[in-house]
Amino acid sequence: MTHQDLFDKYINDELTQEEETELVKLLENSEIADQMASYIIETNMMVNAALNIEADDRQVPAKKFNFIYLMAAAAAIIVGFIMLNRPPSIQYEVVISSNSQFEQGTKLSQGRYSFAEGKLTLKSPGGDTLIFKGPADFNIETESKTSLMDGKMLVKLNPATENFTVQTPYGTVKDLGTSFGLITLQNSCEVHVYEGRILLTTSQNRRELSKGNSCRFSEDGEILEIDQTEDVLKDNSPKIILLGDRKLKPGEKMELVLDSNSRKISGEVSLAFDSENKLKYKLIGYSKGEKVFESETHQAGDKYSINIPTDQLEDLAVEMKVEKGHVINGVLSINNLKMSSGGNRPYEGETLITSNSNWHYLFETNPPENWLETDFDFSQWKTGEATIGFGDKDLKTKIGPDSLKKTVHRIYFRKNFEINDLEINSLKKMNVNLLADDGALVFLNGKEIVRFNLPEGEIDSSTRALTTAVLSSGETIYSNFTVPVKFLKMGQNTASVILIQRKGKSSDMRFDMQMTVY
Amino acid sequence: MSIEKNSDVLQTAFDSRPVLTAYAYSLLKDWSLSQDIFQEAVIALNEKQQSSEIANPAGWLKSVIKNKSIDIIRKRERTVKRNEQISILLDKKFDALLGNEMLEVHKQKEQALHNCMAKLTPDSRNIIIDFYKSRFSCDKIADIYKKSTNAIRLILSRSRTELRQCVKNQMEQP
Repeated sequence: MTHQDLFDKYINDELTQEEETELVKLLENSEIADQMASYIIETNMMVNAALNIEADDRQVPAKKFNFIYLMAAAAAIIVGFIMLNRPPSIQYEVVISSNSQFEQGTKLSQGRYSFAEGKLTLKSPGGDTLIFKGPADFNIETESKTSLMDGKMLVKLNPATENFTVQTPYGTVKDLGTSFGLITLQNSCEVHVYEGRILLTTSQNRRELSKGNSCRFSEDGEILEIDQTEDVLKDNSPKIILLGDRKLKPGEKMELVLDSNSRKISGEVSLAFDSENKLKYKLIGYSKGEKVFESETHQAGDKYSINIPTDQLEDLAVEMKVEKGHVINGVLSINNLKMSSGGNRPYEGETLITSNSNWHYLFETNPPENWLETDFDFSQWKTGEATIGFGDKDLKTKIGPDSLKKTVHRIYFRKNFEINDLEINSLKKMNVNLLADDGALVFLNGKEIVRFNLPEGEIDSSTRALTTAVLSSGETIYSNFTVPVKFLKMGQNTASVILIQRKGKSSDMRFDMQMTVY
Repeated sequence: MSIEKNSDVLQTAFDSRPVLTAYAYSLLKDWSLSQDIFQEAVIALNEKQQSSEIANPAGWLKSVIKNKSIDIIRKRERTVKRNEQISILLDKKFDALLGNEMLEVHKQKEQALHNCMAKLTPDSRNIIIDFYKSRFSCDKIADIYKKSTNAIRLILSRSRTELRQCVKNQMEQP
């Protein structure tokens, strides 16, 4: 066995007892010890360089030229091209949405999206279909790559599409001509292949799966074969009330909450395994707890259209009451639910924290343990106007040089705000619009309300964001979260945020946030 | 601490990164974790600088990395071997590599290695990542790339030889 083999075995923690003894003897020779230290440094640099180049290749698929003048010309062309054409437009169209956050017909480009309930069907110009089931958190990165941080996802690709990839927290699924479904679980993910093949890569394994096969893969990189789930989007938890696929029994109710500016709902209810359309139901609408309409009885398969007879809608809850029907293992789907805007000005809510407002921030040190407490004195922290960060040119407050990317991996933010003239008890929900590169934890009066692009569980000093934030060039993408208002109080309130960098080669950090109540 | 001093600390940390991440790597045998430990050590250094002057930031960082790594190894003792004797024998070597002159050499070497790595084929680069970062066995990598195990060993060995030669050539250029 060569010295190099022994060094490699050491680095990969594969030395046997005999080999360890042999290596110890060798290292007593100072020259060989020098060689081994240099070998480890060289290996460390090799991995670093290989990862850097891999990242560069993914971002800029530009050819390299040998001559300086050609490089200069190429650079000019590339710069011109970028200036004229950026951002690279990925336009997924919302073709079906049962979540009021996404209007049917709108376009989604690169960025992070999350929603709590319902189902969202996106279609690319190339004919690829991505269906997400809430609660879901996903990031459209490129035309051929999407990350699924949380939720369920069904992918149906056009046969011409090649190398489409879905990144999950525990592994990467690469399409080899296929249709497949993904489910994220507490500490693992599942992939179910319905057509063609996929290549699954985890930190420890790679496996090619063909139609009919399913696997669960976890944080430790292990891949375990499991039985196939026929429909990954099917809701297996009867306790969660969702707008989309929902098992119903007679007497059960179903709620869906519409946007405050909706004046009309229309759609169709259909049931799997109910070909005779035996299901009969009513839709009953409430606003602020008061009934505002009750529809006539509809039958499965009917198309319904209901006008909302009130001008004072701050929000609307619609209850579906099953009057007759017997659904065993049936799936209820409400397709083509479309909400048209009414004539009145939509209720815009009260903004508690505006975007681009001033925040106190800290990044040179970690704050004391009690920093989340509402009476913690952060007056000595620096202040600046959001967007705050480093590594980008368009920041309102740049906290330091770009070289901070080498050492700063989290920034702490604090802000106080007052609530004096709102009736807290009448508030229904709060929207948090968050710009966070890469991940963030948001606290309201010391209680966590938003966790963005971070793993589940306790966040400690070694925690890093799950993925690098992707912002389309020249733009900023805010992620929207609807959170409970129960942590708000009259008088002074405190918002606290930890912005966390992704480990590796993320070169920038940025933060801004808006908080609105309805 | 003044901004200038803070910048000096950051610069020291940055300059010693190739050696200190390798030092952490030699203890932890986990490339990704070694990068994280280094970053945490730099944050700790930054905090320490608020209250007291540190004469040898690189040496201070190395001590923190060592302590943090040993903590981690203790927690993961069942899965990671400590190889204490080897660590002790290597420790002094890393100390010697933290001198300013050596740090400058490693800085140049890192840049040269980056240029040379770009000349390897994508498969060779990925095999390096699979073997050293992901710690896949040669058998597993062979399975992935539909090659024999020996072919993978050969690619790893040749890649390293090519890189060394290329780095040497680049560093000899005026």
